[in-house]
Amino acid sequence: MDNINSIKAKNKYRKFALGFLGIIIVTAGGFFVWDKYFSPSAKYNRQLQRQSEAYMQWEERHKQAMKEDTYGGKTPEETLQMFIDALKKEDVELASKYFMLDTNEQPYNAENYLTRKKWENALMKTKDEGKLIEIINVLSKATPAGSVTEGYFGFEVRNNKNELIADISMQLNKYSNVWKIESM
Amino acid sequence: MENRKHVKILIPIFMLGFFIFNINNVFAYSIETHAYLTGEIINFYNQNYPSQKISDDLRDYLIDGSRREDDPLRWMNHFYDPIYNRGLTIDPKIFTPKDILSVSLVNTVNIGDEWLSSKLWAQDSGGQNKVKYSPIIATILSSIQSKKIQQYFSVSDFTWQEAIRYWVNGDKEMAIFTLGHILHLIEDKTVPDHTRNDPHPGDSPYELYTEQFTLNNPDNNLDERLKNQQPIVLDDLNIYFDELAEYSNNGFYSKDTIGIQSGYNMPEPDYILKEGDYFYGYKIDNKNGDYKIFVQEKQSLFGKIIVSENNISLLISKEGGDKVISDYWSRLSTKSIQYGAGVINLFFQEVEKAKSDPNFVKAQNKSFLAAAISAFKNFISSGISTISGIFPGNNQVQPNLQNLTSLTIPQVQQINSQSQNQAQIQNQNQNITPSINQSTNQLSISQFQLQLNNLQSQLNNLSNQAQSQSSQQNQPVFSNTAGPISNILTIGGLPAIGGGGGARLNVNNTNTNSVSNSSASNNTTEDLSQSTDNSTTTILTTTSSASQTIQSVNHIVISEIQVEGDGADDEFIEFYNPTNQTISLADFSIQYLSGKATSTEKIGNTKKNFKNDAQIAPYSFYLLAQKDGIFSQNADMIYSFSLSGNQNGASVFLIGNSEPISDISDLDMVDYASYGEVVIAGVSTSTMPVKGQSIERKAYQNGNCLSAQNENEFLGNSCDTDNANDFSVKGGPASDWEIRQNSNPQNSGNLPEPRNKPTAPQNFSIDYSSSTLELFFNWQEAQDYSGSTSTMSYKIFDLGASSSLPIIEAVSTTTVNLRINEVGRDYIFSVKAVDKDGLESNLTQAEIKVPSFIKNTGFYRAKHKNIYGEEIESALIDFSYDQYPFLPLDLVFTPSGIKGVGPNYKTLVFYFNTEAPKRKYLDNSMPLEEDRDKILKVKYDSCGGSMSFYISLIFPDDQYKCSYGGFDSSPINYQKYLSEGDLHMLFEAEAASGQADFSQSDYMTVAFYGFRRHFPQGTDPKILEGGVWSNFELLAIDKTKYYFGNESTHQAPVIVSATTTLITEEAVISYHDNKPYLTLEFQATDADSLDSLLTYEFNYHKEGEVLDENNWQVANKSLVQVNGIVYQIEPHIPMEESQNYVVYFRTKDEFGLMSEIIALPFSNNLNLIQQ
Repeated sequence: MDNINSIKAKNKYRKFALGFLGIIIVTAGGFFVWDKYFSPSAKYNRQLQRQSEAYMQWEERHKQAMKEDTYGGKTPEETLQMFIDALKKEDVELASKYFMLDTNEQPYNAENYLTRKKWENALMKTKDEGKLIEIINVLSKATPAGSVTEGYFGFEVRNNKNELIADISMQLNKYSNVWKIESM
Repeated sequence: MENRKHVKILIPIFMLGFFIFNINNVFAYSIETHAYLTGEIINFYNQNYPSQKISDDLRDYLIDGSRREDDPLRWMNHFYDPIYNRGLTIDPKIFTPKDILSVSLVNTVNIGDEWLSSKLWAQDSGGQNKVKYSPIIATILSSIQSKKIQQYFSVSDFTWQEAIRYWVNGDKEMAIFTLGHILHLIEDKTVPDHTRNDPHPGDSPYELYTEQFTLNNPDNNLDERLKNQQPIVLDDLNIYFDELAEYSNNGFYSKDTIGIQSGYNMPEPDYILKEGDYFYGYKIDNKNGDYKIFVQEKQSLFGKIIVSENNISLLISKEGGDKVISDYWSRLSTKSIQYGAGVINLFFQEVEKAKSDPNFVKAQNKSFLAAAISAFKNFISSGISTISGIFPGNNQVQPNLQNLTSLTIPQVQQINSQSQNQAQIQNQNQNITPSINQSTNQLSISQFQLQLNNLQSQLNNLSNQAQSQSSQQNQPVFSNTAGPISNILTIGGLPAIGGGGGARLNVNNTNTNSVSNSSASNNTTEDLSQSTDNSTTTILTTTSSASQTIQSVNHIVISEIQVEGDGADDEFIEFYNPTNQTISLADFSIQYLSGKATSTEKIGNTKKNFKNDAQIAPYSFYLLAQKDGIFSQNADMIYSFSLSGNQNGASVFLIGNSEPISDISDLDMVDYASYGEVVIAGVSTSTMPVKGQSIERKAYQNGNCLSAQNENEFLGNSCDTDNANDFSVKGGPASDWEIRQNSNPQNSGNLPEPRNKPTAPQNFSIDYSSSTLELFFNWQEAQDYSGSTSTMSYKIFDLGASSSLPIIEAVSTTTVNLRINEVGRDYIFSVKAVDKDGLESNLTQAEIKVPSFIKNTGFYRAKHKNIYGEEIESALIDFSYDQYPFLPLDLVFTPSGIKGVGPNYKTLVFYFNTEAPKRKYLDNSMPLEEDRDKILKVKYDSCGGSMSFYISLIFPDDQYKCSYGGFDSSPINYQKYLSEGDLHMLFEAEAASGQADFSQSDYMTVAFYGFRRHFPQGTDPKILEGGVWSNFELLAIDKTKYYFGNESTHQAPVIVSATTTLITEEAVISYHDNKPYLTLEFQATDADSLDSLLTYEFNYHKEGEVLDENNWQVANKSLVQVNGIVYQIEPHIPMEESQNYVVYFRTKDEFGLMSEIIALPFSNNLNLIQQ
């Protein structure tokens, strides 16, 4: 009897231990699954991963666009001359390519982001109005005005009274290493 | 946190690779600029806190920590926009172009609002631990230094509390290294791009400009700027973030956030000045000097469509084009140092607190097992929370919460303890407005989660408290810590005033003996923050923040009190309803207690019940005034007792019923205000306002109490910090109040606050009339917050003027004209709409160029021929004009009674090296005595025949105003100077001192005056004070600086006729050897020279020969009369027989400018020769 009782007790103990172990395993496993896939932390990290990938792609898009923007010269003067030459040929499509891509990321500027729409439209309008020659005349008088900091350069146009008529701002596209017109 | 380490590998390796190669993309200051700023912060801190210096041993750790915060991916959390309370947020339209990203990604990633704000990031261990960051920035620490922190190389958590913990645990190097990370975040708050949500990959002018400042190339002016400056001392790290971020957000632009279209209303220029070639927008800074916030470039060559509407930028790409950015740096870098030093000081204060707080260390020393258990508990509690419906119907927080302007989280309705004495936690809906991205209406999942965690902790805490109360025989627990629980959870309240009167825990207690000072009711109100429960304290410490220590109130407040105005009875009490519900005051009363009173025993004598129909609309006011007082606003109700009397202080109580209060702990007290000397205990009293002043409750915005004056005038008056501190006494600390120098009572008719600005006036245009010197403004009417246009008024500002005051104020029409007194300048005007109570719209700008009366103006030295034909060299003033008279007729006087028809006189005064002053009158025709040494004299021949230097230049309107005698003899000689109609004047000039040698730095300006005396008939010139005769009144000045050496463009003379005549008469040719000769007659004119000064020359040669340039002869005309007939004998050319000639003519003006040469061939007439 003692043996039977002992065996029964052992079996009971074994069952209890197995059951307890099973509960522990199920609980721990549940916890693991929850922690890895369903916990706020896991969701946050998945979200962060997607965020980072999206951000990377955005930056990649930005960088790629800048890299592909190879219209321009190795010096500010070169680019300005190329722009003037394009205007003289009335090739406003080419002329517009010497401008920097619009990098204003604000929502109000979304439709212009990484384009040159503003300049393209302005050049086309100027051409339609027959005023390209006026722009050429002004730009032909541009003189170098130095640099405010690395990667920037300016030209200016003054009249015979030394009054400022126009500023031409140039910026180096560091990705393609050509100088672009930032504004004029 | 070990149990979550495995998630750190979720960021793929390739991502890190990507960032390694793009390390400069969204940095604020460059790494080495951070190092420089941190070094300066240490210096400044050590100067100001010599007893707790950062030692040289630790210096490098702090600098290196500030550099290393820019390790990959961390930088994405370095943005904090205090206006929208957000981290980096990029609009999906920009961020996730559908042609680039996969559809699934676009659909599943909530791009717009995910990165933690740096304010949260600095204190979010969970967030920092969740991702393994890759250290790629080379350290500046030596190997020996590095060894001291090498055990922490794998650490990703560089939060504020970790820095404190390291120090408390004795790891000073790591503590300081971690603190360096915090300083980095503080420094970034002085980069406007980082507080204005401008990700600017690689193209921020400010960041590119500031790259130059490093440890090896310091800003040599920084020390000077820091003189007399102190570290900014604040109580909380959050306030450092808030204040600094607001400073840079509100006062500075980033490249892509100029103008209100970017979503920010500020900054706006206080005034605009032209310097050199450009207009600059300025902000007034009375402490450190005004600074530039933008430069307005010339209009684009392609017109307005190219760049921004007003062509405004921060930097001009040419030498010297950094004036705006350098102004930015000079302010922002200084602030960075001041706040950074303050943060170090706060760090050591917090360290001391932590040392004395055993829970702080204990909480951080959890074993792995404890952490695992804690995590498991979270799991379990999360499941239970879901099951029990703590977040009913929404057990998973979704990041996409569209169309929200605030998020309302339904909270626990009731937590019951198992005890019979239940703690009922009656919850109101809680607004977590700051965490909402207002631009996208999306809630940051991370921010949301943080707050959620806080709420969870607090719920647990509340539950603990309830249980604690239960276990402590229903005794309420008291805490000496002012914590955020009551601020985050709005619990219970005063039903009579529409909601919780602050943070209250209503304990439904059946054992009235358990609560001291309980009222007869079983509902007692106690202060949660008075709890001494340690677990509560721990949580309060970790969740404490500036924005949480203050919250907007949801009950009526006393908002302004005046105790004496011009009259002793001019006293009022103003109330403000800061809620979005109309609140009835029907059962309320206002009760007054003298400052000398030691109890409220006699308060029934000075009590006023509100009228039954009294109510306050949402965000509106109600005015209670003394019955005999006189105010700018009508009172909504009057009372008869006095708020001041002979007392030096008093208290005013707003009570939720009409019963006199028994003591200042009265439960029905809604609010109170106390001022001056108040004896009764337990009140917080503010300054006693003097006559005409008032005390006014401050405004509340974004978690902060702000002055309710100046730019915050229209934010309402809802600062009430009593919520957390004291439930039984409402009204709050004296710091909620401020003195208002000129009281501003508002009644129920005033507009609500805060409210939207009026719309800006559109289509603003300006026309100019030179004949009346008037500008005509026109614009479209604007609307106030309610859409009303009828109550709007408008202000017009001259942005080029030195004064920031409007030049036209409070007009209700949309057209107005303005007489100006400056010409020769570009005017930039702005118009603002102003609503009924004075809230101004954004400005709309327009500009117009008003030409001077004179043009082509020159001031120079040249050889020339004077009016007498003498060749001299002298200083000259010359100018042209379009018509004569070139000044408007009779603008200041109408002899005929009709403007514009009376010929008179005009006077010009040339000022030397000074701006022409605006003198209302000249002294007769002369500049005022005090100006006479600042003028340029001009030499002219007067109508009276006197050639001399005069201190003013008088013009007769016509020839009849020029004669000898009386005033008519003073103007310039009409016949000599004006009869040709040349539209040009030229005068010799000299300084008042007689000096005539000028340099290129010398300049002149001009003032124009018109005659106002009825002359010659009039005999009554008005003699002003000081003996000044008011003959000439100011028309306008031209402030243009006409520099010496700026020679005008002169026109060459033109030959208008040339003839040759052969003279053969014997009686005449006797003058030339009795041979026939040719006389020449030609006429020239010069548009800008007196024709009498022209020199005529001729030349000739025989046909077939060439012109000899050395043979030009002056053609002096000479006539003789022979037999009664006048013949010309000079100039002459002797004729030879049968010889043809070519004759040349030219003319030269007083400056030697030649006309074109006219050539006339002459064929000799043989017959004549034969005669």
